[in-house]
Amino acid sequence: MHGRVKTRSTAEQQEVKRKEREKKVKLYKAGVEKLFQKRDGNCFDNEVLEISAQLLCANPDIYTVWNIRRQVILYFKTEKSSEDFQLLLENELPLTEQCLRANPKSYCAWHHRSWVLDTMPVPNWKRELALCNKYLELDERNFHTWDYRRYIVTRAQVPAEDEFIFSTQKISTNFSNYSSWHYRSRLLPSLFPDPLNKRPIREDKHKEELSLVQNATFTDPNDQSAWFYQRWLLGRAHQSLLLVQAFVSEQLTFAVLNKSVRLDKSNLSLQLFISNNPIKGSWKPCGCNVDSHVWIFVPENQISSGSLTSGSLEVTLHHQNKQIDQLNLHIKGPGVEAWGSKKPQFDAQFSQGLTSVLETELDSYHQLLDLEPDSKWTLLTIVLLMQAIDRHLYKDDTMQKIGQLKKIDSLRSGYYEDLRSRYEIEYFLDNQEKDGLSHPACVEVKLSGYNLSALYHLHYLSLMQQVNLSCNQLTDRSLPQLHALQCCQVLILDENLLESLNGMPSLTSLLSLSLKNNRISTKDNLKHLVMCQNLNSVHLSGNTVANDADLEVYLKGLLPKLKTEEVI
Amino acid sequence: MATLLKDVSLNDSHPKELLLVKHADYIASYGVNKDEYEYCMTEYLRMSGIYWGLTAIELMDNLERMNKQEILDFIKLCQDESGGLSASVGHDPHLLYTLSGIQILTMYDAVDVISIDKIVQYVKSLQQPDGSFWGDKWGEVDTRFSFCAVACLSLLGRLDAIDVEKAVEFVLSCMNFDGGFGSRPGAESHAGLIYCCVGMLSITGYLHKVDADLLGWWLCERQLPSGGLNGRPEKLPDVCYSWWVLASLSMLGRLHWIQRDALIRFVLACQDTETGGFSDRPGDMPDPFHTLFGLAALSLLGVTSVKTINPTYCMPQYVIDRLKLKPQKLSV
Repeated sequence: MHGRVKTRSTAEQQEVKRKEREKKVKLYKAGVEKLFQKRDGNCFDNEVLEISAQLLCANPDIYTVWNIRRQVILYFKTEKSSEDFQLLLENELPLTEQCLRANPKSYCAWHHRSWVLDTMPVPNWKRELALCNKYLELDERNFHTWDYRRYIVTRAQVPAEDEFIFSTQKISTNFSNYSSWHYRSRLLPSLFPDPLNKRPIREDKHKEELSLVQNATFTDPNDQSAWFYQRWLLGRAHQSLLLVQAFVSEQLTFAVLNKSVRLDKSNLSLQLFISNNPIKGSWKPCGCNVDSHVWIFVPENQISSGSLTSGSLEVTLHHQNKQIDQLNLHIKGPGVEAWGSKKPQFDAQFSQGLTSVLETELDSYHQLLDLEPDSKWTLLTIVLLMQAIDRHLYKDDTMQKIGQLKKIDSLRSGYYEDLRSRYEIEYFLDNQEKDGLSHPACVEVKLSGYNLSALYHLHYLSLMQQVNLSCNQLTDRSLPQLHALQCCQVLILDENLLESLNGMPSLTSLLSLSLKNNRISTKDNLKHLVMCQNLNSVHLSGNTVANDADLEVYLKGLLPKLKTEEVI
Repeated sequence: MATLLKDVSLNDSHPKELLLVKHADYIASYGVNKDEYEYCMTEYLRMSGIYWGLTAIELMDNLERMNKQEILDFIKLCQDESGGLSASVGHDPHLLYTLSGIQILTMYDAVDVISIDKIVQYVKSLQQPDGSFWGDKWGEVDTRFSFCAVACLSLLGRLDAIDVEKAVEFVLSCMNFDGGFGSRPGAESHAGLIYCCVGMLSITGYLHKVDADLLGWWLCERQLPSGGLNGRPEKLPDVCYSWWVLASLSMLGRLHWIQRDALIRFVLACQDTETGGFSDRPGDMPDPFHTLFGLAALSLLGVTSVKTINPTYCMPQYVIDRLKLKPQKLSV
């Protein structure tokens, strides 16, 4: 029940209402009982149609009554001539209209109407399309009407071009119509697909849409609809699935993809080759889900250090038995380990032509921002445009504007914090790449002091042995993200907001974990340390739990390799 | 052509404390008088009504106030020869009520009172070649039914009875430019249907196919200055969207993208201080549907006087743990 205001009434009014309702209940019960009786007795006649129509006009959601009605109609199909049957179905249309007038959101009434059209010998699709137009005049956001329209358009084979014109008309009458923008987003890719398959639509149309939506956002900067559409147009290019990192040693072998996937032999699979020989074994996802960026290889026979001394090492990625990517590994030293890595790609990758359009837009939105300095949508769009044009050039401005958004739109401060964290990590990874981050040597990755509230792209750190995430705003909810750190031996999480280790993934390489100055209060909140069985040191000073006299005994029970002097 | 923001305003007269005793009384007394108008006229959704009431009262730890035997007997009577469950005795079977029935039986740990094989057979019979599900034999297709089908089968441990990959493929074909989902391919994003699709992908283990940042942003943009959440852009807030939006954000690991205290204030303002129960908006009539979703939202928001709810199934977490189900959840 939605939108029924609770009203005060006098005793007299209440009595009138009570009697009215009593009558309605009686009618309902008698009607339904009669219908069930007739159906049980296979008595399909006009009376069933009459009674059911009365019940449905009062409440179009009684689905079983519609079913009974359809049973009668199907029964009459064999009894009546085609003309009479057509007439019978024609009569269903005003009934559904009457029901929809009472409740325009009745799933049952809408479905019945489409069933009637599909059952009718000669359906009149034109009339139905006109009905949709009329209903969309009354309520341009009723998604049932839009869904019905798409059904009619499919059945009547209305060309997508016509519907595109319709959506343009709807938008030009009222920019504030999310439903129309949505419809456009569905029509455009089918009408004007991008031949390069990088973006949803062809470049010339993309420019036209950018201009249309800019016009809309300038007309009414407070309306959400156009801004959502614009964000779609400013999205990053579609990236194909790639192998980005791999690691092979006697103890541990894994491969990393740029997207989180589920591997299954028939569809998507990985293969390790040593000296061109395929190595038998299975791949298991890292972390607690069935999908992962990082897949661990379990060989049938252990990989011997001898095989890492010479020859080539390679991992290949296959989609439906076709190789779609490969990664060659470098052997670090004889008998030690081998690894391979590709540079991450965070740029939006717009063409030069589109980028110059975006540059002009950025100027325009700066002007709009001068007029309305607190318009969050303008601010956010400026951020997105800057990211799309040149991420590194606009780094400081991006961060400053996100800070402003956090203040202006405080309901969503959590979102902006995570967005900032994501950008910070992307900048960090880009910069590290120059210095050879992909080398799993004993350099410390220092993602420290960025006030990160979320962990993105950690799979690009899967080869690193020392990771410092201290002095951030990390909470328990981000712990599962650490699953990508498969080579990590030393992990520093000091000065964060951790209350427990719930969600800590299994990290088999991890030897030392530092958790100083977090908010861990009880031993029980540490129980997930058991996921990291090779830990020999855990640092907990600056947490309430560090004052617990039994802490050391507890931790030694969890972690057999822990050295006494290395607790706290 | 400036847009007026659709929202409600809260004031001091709206309740600020959680009135658990009143809500438990409201649910326990709902339907005791079987001739009551509201009760009679909602016969067509009785099975779901019982699920809403039962889950709500269990979240308040008052399950014993419901008449268990009467409910189990009722469900038995609602299974027809096709195997599906109907909303009420004499009505027709439908996936919506089949799921509600299974949820109730699961909470009571009593699935054996009906024929499980027939339920599985019924759900399986409704899957179409494109992977979608009909709600019943009359052919309505909707992603709500995709959720009902996999939720129901997974609660019974029988997900393998259907073509899961095809079912997932269909749901993914309903994904939109904004990262959200609608009822069918091409249909506009809507928080209720997003919940169904995200839930469906969470159960089947394909949640990583969602663009969690894009969809999460759309979802957190549902929060209005009143603190309440709407179901689509430019619409009014409603307590039930507190659930559809929050549960989706929770599965995506992005619950912290909305402002918790403001939403709690809005949900509490939708309580009826006289009769108990929650309504869609402050000052409207309460009903069991909004009462469940109000309480469930408070549970996700960490209000500890309400039992922990599972965001995928909208059932108490301990029940999901008992079944050893681990619906997929993302993190960030």
